[in-house]
Amino acid sequence: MAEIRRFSKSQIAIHVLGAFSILVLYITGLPITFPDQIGWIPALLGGYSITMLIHRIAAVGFIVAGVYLVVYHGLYDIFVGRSYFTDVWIKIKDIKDAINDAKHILRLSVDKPPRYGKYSWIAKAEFWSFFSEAAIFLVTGSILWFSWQSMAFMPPQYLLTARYIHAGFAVVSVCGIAFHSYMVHFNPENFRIDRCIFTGSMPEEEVKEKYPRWYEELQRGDNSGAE
Amino acid sequence: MKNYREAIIVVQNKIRYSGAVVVAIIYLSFIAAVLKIANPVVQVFVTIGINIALLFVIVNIGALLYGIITRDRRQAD
Repeated sequence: MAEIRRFSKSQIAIHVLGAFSILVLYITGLPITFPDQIGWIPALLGGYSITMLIHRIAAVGFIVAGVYLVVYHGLYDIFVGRSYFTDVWIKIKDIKDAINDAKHILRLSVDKPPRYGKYSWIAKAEFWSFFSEAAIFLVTGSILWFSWQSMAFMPPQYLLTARYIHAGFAVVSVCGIAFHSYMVHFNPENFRIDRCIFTGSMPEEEVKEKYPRWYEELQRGDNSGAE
Repeated sequence: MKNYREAIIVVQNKIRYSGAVVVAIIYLSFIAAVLKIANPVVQVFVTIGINIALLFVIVNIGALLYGIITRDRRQAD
């Protein structure tokens, strides 16, 4: 069976580093917010100071993945051609697709479900929600990490606000990851695991079925967003 | 062969629905935790839910490592 390239090596690397980092950040960060429920994790790791050290090392990995994504794909978009950012940019069609999908699921429309391009509106919504959450984590996390330096130019109560925002968005982000994992791993079509993000390629038949508009683009020779 | 495929689909659908239940428990427990509901039964539910969320995260790390290690074995799977 023929395989079609969906993700480049840089995209695979960013996903692996970013995903591993954020999962470690959850394990080491959530016990700070919920000490009564999962306080056994810092105890297992050898105390809160070691847990926070691991949290900060994982944060560096997450920042590296984020900076690499923005710089590499941003520069590629500007100087070479269409990149990942061009493909995940939200268009009017995505909003229409979301409405049509909802109508289709709720049986309000007899039309067929929308025909997706390379990235569906769900994938784009997931990407931009993670991207915006990452920006919030970066700002609030930096304030908390460099708290003494931060207090030189902001009142101390801002640190407490930053802590609440950081923890609140961490909970939202865990819920987002749960949704992402459910869609990827618990989906009967992909169960046990969707290997596409690791191999970078997808069987042609699957592309034809799941992403018909992208398949048509490929047939026309428009292999956009290869990088 | 057809019966085997049908059995697989039945199991997969069960996994799909149990997966949805797990995600729902995680969501509800976080909502209850954020709202700081004092009811002891709810607190037990929150503790179970947050621990499941953490287990879910650990399973995801396992899935990530499994995907990396076996990335050349798509056909074998």
